[in-house]
Amino acid sequence: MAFINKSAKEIQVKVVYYGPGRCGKTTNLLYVNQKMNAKFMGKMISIDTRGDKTLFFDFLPLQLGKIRGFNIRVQLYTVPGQVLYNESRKMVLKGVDGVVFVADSMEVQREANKESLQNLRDNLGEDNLDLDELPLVIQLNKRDLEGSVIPVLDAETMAHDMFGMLKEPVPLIPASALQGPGVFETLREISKITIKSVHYKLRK
Amino acid sequence: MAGEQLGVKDIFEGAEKVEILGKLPIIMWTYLDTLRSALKELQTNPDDCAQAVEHLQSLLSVMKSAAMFLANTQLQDRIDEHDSLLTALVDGQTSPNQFVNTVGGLIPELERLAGPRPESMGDRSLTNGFIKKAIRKVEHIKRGRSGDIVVSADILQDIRAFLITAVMMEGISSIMVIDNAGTLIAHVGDKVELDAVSLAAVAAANFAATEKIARLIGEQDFVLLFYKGHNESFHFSRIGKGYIIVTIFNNSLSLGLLRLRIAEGVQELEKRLPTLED
Repeated sequence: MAFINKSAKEIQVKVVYYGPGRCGKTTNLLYVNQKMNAKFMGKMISIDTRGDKTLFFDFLPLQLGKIRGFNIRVQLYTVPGQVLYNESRKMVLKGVDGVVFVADSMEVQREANKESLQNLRDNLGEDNLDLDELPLVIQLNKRDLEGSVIPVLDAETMAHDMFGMLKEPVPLIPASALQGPGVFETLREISKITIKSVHYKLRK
Repeated sequence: MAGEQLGVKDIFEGAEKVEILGKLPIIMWTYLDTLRSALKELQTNPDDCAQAVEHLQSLLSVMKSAAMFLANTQLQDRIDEHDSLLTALVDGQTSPNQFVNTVGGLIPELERLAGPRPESMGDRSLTNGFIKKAIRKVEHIKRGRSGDIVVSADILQDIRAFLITAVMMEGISSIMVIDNAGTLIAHVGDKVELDAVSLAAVAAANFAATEKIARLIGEQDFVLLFYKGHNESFHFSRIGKGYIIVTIFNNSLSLGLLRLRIAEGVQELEKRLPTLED
């Protein structure tokens, strides 16, 4: 549910980072928070446990310049990934305009990725939203583990897994949230298609 | 709990496995860097390496568990080699010089197995702070963050009994004791249709969120957290640092009386619940 303020010429959209526990959603936001110019950014809020597990959400508001005279504000949220926190995930998803699905490239997480994507579909469904209609970008995270001692799924397998659960293929971005490659590409892509879809809805 | 040696299987049963596996390259490279600097030190100042050896051993034990989980026998063998050499050094069976010579030759092989050195490490790995942090993290994961709290059956029984006899009263339909992360520890009450597990998770999230609000306006936390419904109301209160007591009561009960009751109960519960480590 984008918020459009015509008098202030401002469009505000909500982007949620979704994915299985420990896949790097918060790490994505932390990287953006570290690298982006503070001028275009609000304060990052994290509601987490004593450890570094997200308990409710992380929140990072950004300003992404102007489109047709409208200021674009994007609010980034993450959800808690652990299965236990499904109710909290539903709350964070309310009014979402675009989703980044962060998939974990580690082989041991193959099933967890699929479960989480299905869970996303179910939770959106409860809010009468359709995953296939929503702007979605899939980030293949932890690509930095490629070639290391940890077995990693190759991009084709992951694409096959994920696209098998979607009506149409969506942008797929390999990334390493810990080190940075792919993080801003993901943000750029999801912002682009989310704004596009809001603009499209606006004209209708 | 702390100090208790957990088996390999235990470590990898929880969600922590994902984290430990993801960090394995960093752990391995930290080990390798520490080993290199320890080798240098052994040559110059062989009596002063106790701490480095201790660090190396803790890192090795995690690598070993991970290798076993991955069923990577090659890595397992290499780690065993390092492990036995370190043990021999500690026991005085090997001289520092011998150790330097044998282990030095084993390093490239382990490097090959570890894969490319993570860029994010930079040169930090050699600072003592970084190593200590890595080890602390590893110990933390090994203990199992989600398994941090061990509540024995006796304590649980005791808490339940206490809640029923000393806190429960006419007008309260449910009392829950949960931890900060939303794990349900004890639940008493007669609200049958209640989905206590979800409620606990959401309540913890809500509690944490209001605490964040408090911080944003410069308060440590809100002392009283109370939600009034049409028929039933909610009351939240902290028990010590790590636990929260959630009470659901109907509107026939006065809030003041409930607060008094809970305040008394909280003091007692704090003594009975296991203390949490940081």
